[in-house]
Amino acid sequence: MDAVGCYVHIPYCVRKCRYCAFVSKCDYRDVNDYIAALCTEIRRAKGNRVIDTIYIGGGTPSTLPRGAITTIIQTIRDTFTLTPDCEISVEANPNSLDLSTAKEWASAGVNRVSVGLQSASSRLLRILGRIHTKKDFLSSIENLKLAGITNINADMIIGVPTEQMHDVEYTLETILKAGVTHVSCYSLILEEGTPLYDDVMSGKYKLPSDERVVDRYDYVLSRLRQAGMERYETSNFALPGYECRHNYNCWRVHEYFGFGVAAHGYIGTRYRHTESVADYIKSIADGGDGVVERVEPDKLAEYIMLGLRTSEGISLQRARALGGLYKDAKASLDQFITHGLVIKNGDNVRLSDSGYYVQNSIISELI
Amino acid sequence: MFAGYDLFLTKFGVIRILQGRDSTMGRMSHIRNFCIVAHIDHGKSTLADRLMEYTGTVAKRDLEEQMLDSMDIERERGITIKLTPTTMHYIYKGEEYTLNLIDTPGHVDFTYEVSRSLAACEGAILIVDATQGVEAQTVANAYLAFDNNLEILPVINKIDLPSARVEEARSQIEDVIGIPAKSAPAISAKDGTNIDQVLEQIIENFPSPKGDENAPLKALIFDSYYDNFKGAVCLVRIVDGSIRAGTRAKFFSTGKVYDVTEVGIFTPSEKETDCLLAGDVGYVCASIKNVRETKVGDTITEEGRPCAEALPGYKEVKPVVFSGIFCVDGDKYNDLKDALEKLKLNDASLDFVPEVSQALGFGFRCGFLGLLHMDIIQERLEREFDLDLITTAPSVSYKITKSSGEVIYVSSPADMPKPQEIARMEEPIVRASIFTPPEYLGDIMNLCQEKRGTQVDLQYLDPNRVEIIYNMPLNEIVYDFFDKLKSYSKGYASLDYDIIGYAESDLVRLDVLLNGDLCDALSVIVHKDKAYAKGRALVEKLKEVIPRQLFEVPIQAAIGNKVIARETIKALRKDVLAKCYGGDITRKKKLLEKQKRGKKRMRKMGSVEVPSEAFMSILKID
Repeated sequence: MDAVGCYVHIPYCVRKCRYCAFVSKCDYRDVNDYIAALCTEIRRAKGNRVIDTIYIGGGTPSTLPRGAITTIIQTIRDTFTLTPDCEISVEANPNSLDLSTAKEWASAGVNRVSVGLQSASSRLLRILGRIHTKKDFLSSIENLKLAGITNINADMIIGVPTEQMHDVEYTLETILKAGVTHVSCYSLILEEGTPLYDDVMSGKYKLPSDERVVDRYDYVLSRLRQAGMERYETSNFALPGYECRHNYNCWRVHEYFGFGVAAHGYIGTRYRHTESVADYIKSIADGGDGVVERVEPDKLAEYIMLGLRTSEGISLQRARALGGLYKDAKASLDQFITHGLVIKNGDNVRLSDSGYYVQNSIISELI
Repeated sequence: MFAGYDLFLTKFGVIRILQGRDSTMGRMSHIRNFCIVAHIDHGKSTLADRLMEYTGTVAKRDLEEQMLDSMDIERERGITIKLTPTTMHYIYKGEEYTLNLIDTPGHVDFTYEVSRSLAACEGAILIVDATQGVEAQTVANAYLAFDNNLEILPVINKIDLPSARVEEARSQIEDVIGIPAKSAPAISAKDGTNIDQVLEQIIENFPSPKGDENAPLKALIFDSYYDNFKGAVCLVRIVDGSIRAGTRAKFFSTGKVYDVTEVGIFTPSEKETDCLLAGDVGYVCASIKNVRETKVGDTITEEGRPCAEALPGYKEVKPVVFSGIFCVDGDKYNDLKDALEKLKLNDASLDFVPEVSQALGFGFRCGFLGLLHMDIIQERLEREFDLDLITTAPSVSYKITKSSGEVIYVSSPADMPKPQEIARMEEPIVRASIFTPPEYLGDIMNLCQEKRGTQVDLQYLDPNRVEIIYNMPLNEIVYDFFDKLKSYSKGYASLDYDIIGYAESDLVRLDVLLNGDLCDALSVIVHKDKAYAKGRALVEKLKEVIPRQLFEVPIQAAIGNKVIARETIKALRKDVLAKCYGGDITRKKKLLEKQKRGKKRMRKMGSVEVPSEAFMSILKID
């Protein structure tokens, strides 16, 4: 049986960022009950599956009480078989990654950390509602390296209100100078219901135009390539061999467990958990698993949609095996190729740099 | 005198009444057949209602209901489209008179129908709004009445309004139309003021019908409509002879013979009678399946004893304005087809044939009597049949002489032959008569000039009113001429037009190419001198309304192979660069599927997607 991934969700943050629509809460009073429930859910999933990647995301896993990450990882180890080279990633905020945390994680087996810098500009960090500084970021990287963790990702966001090209350059140089193996660069997505969304809707802030954002992203692209990184997914760049295996497997439509509040998983079916911590704890206490929805996967659509996000692209032969492209989709595909949005090489089809920017339009015509 | 008529209504009817010529003459001397003509909004329907109320034909409380029965569009536009005749009875100087009111449509599109209605009458009430004075269609309708040798009774309406200028209206009628108006009743149809004067003058001034009950049957069809149970119902004026259930009726234009199943009069609802005689107005049913067989202007006679010749004036009604009609939702083609067929049941002048457009899919090429007729049909399709339509720019029927000598008429740009195959092109010309207050004269003359008009006449009817006559291509009028005329004159100018023939013209087909592909639905036939401006306007508007696509889209306007205007829609740079981890695959997929569904409302033109709304706004440009 193929090895599978394991995603664990930590729904706690010291403060919610102004643009964030992910499930997280700032009240840590039930955190120990949550960790206990989470470990129970993991143990109940016991079976003969082999795990080759673990990803602990959030929220802010680095704000958990000392020892919690170790407990979670140990529970997974006790329940499943881990491959010897199992990738174990944890997300961290720059201001909550002190040396002792880094050391704890390293001894628990964490071998990859993703640090949410977002921007090196204090002005932009304030607009985003981030509570850290550029200095926090630099020291967190230093701490990780001191603890022996060298596979490090830095997240950055572009397209923030008031942002200028030099802000992007500054952030990018900060990241490269700090010495990371991986960069995730997203354009800001306004999510309804977030404070930043309200600010933009009320006219307090104005988003940069798509043209500007594309120009800035083009710059990011060329600067990271210059630094030896490759774009292996829409918004992910890595030095060769440092791609995030956990996420890559998701895009390859591999199976993965999802544990914890709001976590999604894919083991035979796609499923998701309740978004309420209280409901989750109660469900686990009642002998349940906190899952609120299971959906049969649409294998063809998922293969196209996820595969085209990556530089690997998709195989037409495999798409055919999964049911094949619609007639209209084939015609559209030819047109995308003609216009240089899609690159076709034998059986393989993938997006070009300009295609990545409009992938929603492309993919929606193909599924 | 009326005893004869009563006798006639018995089962021996015809024979008894025909016994004495005196009684025949007596019956007819108590009939008045008349119509009301007026410019739009001058109060024709209101006066008709008031006459019905005064003669006790319809009680006041029923009037509202009766009004509501008519089509919404008519009511909203304040114009009557369908003719509804009514037989009324009125006692004057101790004698009872039968008054047959034949209502006529007030719009230029229906001139032929109006003329046939007039031919069924001996008199016409000409209403003039005391606040507006004589308008273009007042004059046009008065002339139509003259042409049909009708006695005209001018009536000045709306005297209840503070801005009424009765004496001015009186002198306008005398000066502009040239009929005496000294004793014209000044009325308020709304309030019912002086309606009795109108009734008196109808009886005193309008001639009674002439005709011979003993002669072979000769009846004029002046309208028809479709009834689900009775089939096509002909509205007729009996000129000579008589008709009753069982008569073998022969229709002159088609030569077809039918067994009459029912005859009757309108009160105003259908009321069956034994017989209709010379001078009468009523209806005839003969299980005719299609209104197309009951052509307005046709003559009905008796198969066994036909009259020598048909009544004069019959002509085939031909559509003059054409447009493609398509559904926004391509799956609704069959609904559109059913809807058009239903409308056609009652509207013999509506013409349609299937048309296929690359851009718009399956639809119909429809022919209309004019712009109002087109608007009415489109509105009825949308309102009564709940269809979302896309209609192409209105076109007219061009006469093309090919190099081979063959002459063809083309109303769809797609059917236009290649330039090298065309020897000569002609377009329909109208004689447009415009009435306006003098202060708008300059703007209106500029507008007419811009629309390729040639001035024929200009005269001051009085210090406040000018009549200008232009000969003008119909294809310039079908776009937005009327709207512009109204806006330039703050609504004061009025228009009437007649098609006077064809004139040679330098016409070209202007095509629009999106990404190099011809967009057939946007092709138009225009005068060469206007092609450049029109092409520029089209490409600019397209650039504005077509959303950015995944690639750059050149928009070109071309005549043949020659591009005369060009714009470019830049490519979409970015849609999103969001995170997509394991967490939200299902959600992400839903979003993409939603985006895909959004595209279904788009019209694909070649390789370019155009929202239906955008398409419609393109068609609206001048």
